[in-house]
Amino acid sequence: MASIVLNHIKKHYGKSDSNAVKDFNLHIDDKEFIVLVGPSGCGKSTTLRMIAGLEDISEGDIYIDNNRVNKLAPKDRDIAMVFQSYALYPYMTVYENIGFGLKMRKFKKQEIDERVRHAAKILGLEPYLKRKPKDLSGGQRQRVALGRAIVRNPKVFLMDEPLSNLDAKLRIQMRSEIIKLHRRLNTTTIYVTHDQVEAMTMADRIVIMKDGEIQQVGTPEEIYNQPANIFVGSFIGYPGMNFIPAKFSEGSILIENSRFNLLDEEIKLLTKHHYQDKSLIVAIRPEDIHMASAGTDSSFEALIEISELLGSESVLHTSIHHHDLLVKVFASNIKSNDKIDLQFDFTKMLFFDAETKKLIH
Amino acid sequence: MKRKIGIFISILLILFWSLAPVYWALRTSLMSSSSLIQKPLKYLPYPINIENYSQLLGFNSSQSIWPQFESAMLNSIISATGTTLIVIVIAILAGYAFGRLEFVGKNIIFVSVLVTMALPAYAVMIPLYKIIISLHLIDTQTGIILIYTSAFAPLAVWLMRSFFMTIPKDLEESAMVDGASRFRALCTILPMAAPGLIAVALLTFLNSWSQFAIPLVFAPTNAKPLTILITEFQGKSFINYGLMTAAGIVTIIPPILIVLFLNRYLISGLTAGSVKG
Ligand SMILES: Nc1ncnc2c1ncn2[C@@H]1O[C@H](COP(=O)(O)OP(=O)(O)OP(=O)(O)O)[C@@H](O)[C@H]1O
Ligand SMILES: [Mg+2]
Repeated sequence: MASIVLNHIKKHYGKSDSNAVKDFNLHIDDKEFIVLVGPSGCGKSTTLRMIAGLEDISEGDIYIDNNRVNKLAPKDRDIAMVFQSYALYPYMTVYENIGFGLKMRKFKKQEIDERVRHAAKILGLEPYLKRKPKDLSGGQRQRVALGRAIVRNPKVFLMDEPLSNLDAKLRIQMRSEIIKLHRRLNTTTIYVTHDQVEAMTMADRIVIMKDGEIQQVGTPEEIYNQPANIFVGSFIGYPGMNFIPAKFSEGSILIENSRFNLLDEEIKLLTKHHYQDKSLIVAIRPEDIHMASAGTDSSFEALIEISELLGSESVLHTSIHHHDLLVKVFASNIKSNDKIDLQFDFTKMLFFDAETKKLIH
Repeated sequence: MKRKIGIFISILLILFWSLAPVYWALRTSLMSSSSLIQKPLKYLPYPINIENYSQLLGFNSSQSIWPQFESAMLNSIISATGTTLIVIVIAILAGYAFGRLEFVGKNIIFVSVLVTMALPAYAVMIPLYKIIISLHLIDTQTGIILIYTSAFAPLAVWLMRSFFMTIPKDLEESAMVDGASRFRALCTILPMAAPGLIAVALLTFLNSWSQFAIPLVFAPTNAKPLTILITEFQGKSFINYGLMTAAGIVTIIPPILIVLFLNRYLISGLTAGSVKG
């Protein structure tokens, strides 16, 4: 088990003109489950592969357990990696695949046997040990790949989108299995995904990346409640946050010509940061907009353009002064073209700078 | 249905085209020299005469040419097998390097290797002859194997490179994370490159086995292979067709056996189930 430090890591690929990873700094504690999340091409895999030693580090240092590992070969870093493609050897049985890493490290036959059987038991693979990977289902192959990683008892697990080839139901099941596995083994884990639900449900801490840069590091609650910038707010949560251009004046905000009174705390915050009579962006999650009875203070009327039923909840597509607005309410019989009254939950409202797109806090 | 008949007939024609000469050689080898010149022409070797084969293989001790034939057979086997083994090793290592590793000048080196394939053998015959003479390798197995290797390795390297490029990189990378060195990782993906390796082995062996011009110049006596020996069954005024065709028939047996044997392993789909899908 180990802590990992990434210190000003940069990655520059041969001919490209920008860095795939720019100044990545992170301190990962022992036993932590870190999820790297972000849109495609943001540098998640590149970062993970640099930690694994499969990619050269252009600048910066990586430490595992206080040892600088920049120059160490992958095999000398005592890590295990689970690949998106599973990377199983087709000509080996499940047993041989799981035991491969131990064989490479010259463990005794008996020790290999014990460990492989133990891992197979944890992962429910005992009946399949003699099979070849091609005779397994996707979920079983995924389990074999996990088995390969856990038999070695490495210091660190690295996983690059391990569940993205599975169907939705299996993904949810494997997600909880990986979490249980982590509770049981307590191995420091770095998990890459572009699925924000996986990030929210699995992580101790989430690292959100975009264009090779860290946008925010924090617990799922912090990321959800206090997104550092507009990108994070829109990336996390389904549907994403609403962002509405507005103006702060005289203790209230103006959305076009509608005036909404703010809470004292918010007035204090915005005044302190000199936003008096300035433009800013108001942000509110779809679930923090509620239905109101007509005429309630600061309620507004909204025309429902589309109403999507998700199950127990509905997502309503509407607008306020031509700015799109998504609202999440408990399933109701609201239909398209209905007119309803809505109300913001001001305690949940956030404000972002119109220029820097950063959270005002 | 019509189409199937068409395909069937075309296949028959192609089979006839390629097998007829072989049949003719077989028929000739099984006839005595007197019955060969009889009119009308005989299409079946009747009565069967195994005189040529017994002379060739030494059952008929009086006129046996077995010692000559045996040494030529050995020479052919050694040069073809030796070349194949060396070419395979080169193709694996160089093909992997060109397909997977990044190093300075990779493309230039690779293109230079390929360009040598475009040079006709005859264009380099004289300089090659001088080199082989100065190395004292004329008329030796070593010399012949060296020349064959340099001639057949580029194609083999190219084939193996393409083969390695089709194998998912993840497989090696996960081996390396699991404790394998680069070389060990290469060994773990080798079984998946088996169809490529077998294709390379077949091509190289058959090519080496059937060479004529090169051994004619570089291995005229001691290292003489079968292909050269066969042409020597002729006197000033007399060509021994029977003996020549019998030797020819025996000469194609080893390559046929090798093709039949290796063909079984040339199955595709060896990577099924290794990665997603
Ligand atoms: N071998 C390479 N050579 C050149 N550029 C590369 C290479 N690998 C990745 N890149 C570039 O680096 C950037 C980051 O890629 P990376 O694979 O880390 O993204 P990612 O976040 O894992 O995306 P995804 O979610 O699609 O897997 C991309 O712009 C990509 O084009
Ligand atoms: Mg990736």
